Amino acid sequence: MTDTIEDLVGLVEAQASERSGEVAYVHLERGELANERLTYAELDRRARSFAAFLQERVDPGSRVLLVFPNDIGFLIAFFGCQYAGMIAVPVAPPRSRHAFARLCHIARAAGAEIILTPLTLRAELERRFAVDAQPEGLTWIIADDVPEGLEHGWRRPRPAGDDIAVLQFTSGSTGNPKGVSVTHRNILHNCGLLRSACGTSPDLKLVAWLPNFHDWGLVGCLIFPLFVGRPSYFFDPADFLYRPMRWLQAISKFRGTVACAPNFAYDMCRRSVSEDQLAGLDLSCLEMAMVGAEPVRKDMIETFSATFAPFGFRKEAFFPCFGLAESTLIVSGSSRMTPPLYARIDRIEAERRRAIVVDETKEGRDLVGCGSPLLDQRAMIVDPDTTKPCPPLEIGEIWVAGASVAKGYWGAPDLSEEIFGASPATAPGERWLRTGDLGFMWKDALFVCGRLKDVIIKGGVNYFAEDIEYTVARSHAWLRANSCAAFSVDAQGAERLVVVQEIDFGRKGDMASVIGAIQAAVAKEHEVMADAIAVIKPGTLEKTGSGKLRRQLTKSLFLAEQLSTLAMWKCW
Amino acid sequence: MESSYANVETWLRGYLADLLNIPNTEISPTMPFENFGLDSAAMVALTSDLSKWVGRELKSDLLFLYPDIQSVARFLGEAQLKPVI
Repeated sequence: MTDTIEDLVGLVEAQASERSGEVAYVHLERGELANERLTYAELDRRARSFAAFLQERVDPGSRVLLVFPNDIGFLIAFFGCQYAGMIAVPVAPPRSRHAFARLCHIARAAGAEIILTPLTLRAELERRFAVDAQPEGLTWIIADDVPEGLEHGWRRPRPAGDDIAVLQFTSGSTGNPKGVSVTHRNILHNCGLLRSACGTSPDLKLVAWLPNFHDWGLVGCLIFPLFVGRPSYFFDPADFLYRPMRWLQAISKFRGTVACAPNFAYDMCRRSVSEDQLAGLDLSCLEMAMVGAEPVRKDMIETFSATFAPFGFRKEAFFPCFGLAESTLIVSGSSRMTPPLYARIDRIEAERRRAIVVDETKEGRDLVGCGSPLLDQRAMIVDPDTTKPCPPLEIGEIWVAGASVAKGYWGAPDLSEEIFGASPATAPGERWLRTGDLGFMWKDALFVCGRLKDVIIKGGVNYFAEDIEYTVARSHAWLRANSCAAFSVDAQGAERLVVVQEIDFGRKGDMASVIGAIQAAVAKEHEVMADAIAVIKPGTLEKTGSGKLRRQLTKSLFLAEQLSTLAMWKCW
Repeated sequence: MESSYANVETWLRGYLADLLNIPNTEISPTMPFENFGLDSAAMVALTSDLSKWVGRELKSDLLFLYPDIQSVARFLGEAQLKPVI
């Protein structure tokens, strides 16, 4: 049925006529209570009414900022935008000055006409807007004020599959956010890829909390379940962070079959779990634990599996995958219910861009395979300098092509052409997406090594920033997880390796021994000396709204001596 | 634990002083939490710890609605006799 549908309006209409009174969405209050449900028919009716309200106010194609927690209200507003022929721009609720600055930049970059937000966020937004200047030309609409029952005034737009449905803003830099123009067809195609990965079991049930302003939260957790006509049990990311085990408990209670989250979230569950939270936990229902969006770690998979195996969790449920907003969401994924594929690669060879897989008795860097491209989506490994496809087992940039690849970046034609319209030297007419990620293929699976722009070249050798950061963060018990930046700077005529690491909250004492531990770990694991090590205050490392590290900004702050440094060692 | 205004304020000052390695006296009750360098994950963690201390569930976005010690202590002090959620 879904294969003949051209746009998101048609998708909701089709499900509303086929499944009418069935439950499409269950919002879990606090991640625990299934208090609010939405059927397919209600979604259709309320989206029509909401759209009629919007159509009275702005022209089709207008950009509408959606600033919502994960709740039913977001769904009505989001599909209301689609029904009105508007372009939805989901943005994170501005819970920090940084996030607020980002919201303002996004509003300007998107040329947004409307900002839509629920009453519960109004006070917080007004407080921030009172301090900082509001982007011009923004009309405020409080979603709670939009009356129901306007559906008869709705005029069905005629969106073409090629029309933009969503501007998906990616991490990028705060001052220069990049909005990926994702079309209706992109989303439907990507949902098809997800269906090929997840299957169409009548029992399929997603339990998730990923944010609606992230491609995985929006497309993967809210639109994909609608596409396959199966319920989505969802809650707010803040409720996950408050008590991570709520997620696994919800899976157990509501018999979820599919879960998805980045590596860190599985780690948080394992670290924070207490005896009483394990009582009665039954994860035997879980068939897919999708993990992606950031590097997937072998030790996470192993420790999580060991911790939760007594409670029915199966390691084969882990489904490592690779994707990016520029390709709507997912690109590749492993096979369902198969053990994860690990590759330990020789570090020295990897630094020369060769992927030599060594056996478990040797030292090396452990990587997890992210499967092969799904359905008709394609990926290849390309030498980023010559743009020639790499021979097998050579590390190069991952290039992607297929119907999920988005139109480009909103309002940035030159950059779009460079990133979305790349041609390999061997096939000048083709158009490929440059992902900026480095990786290789082994045993038909894609392995991701790190970001191209974060490769540190020292003495002619390539070091992967992520790899060094991982080593550093684990080198001493006082160091905060996921809060290290490694990069290179040019100082006194030489390339220098710099490591900036946050101390954990509540730690004080002998910083010299912390620095010593970092130095020793880097030297042991990577056979290289860090030329500078800065230990900084907790919570001060620059990250994007979605928590991704901002290495280049950290580098500028380091050079300008503007980091919140507690202790520093430097060889020059 | 009785979550009177004064108790909550004292607890939060102690918590932040401990967390950030700074003396209690440097912690102003009207300074927004984010000015201490707390990111949103650290703020949710603080809320979670606070809920254990007051012995009842708090909404995970509590500190975004009451962004400094004074306002959250006032809220919890007033809400003492009412259910929070």
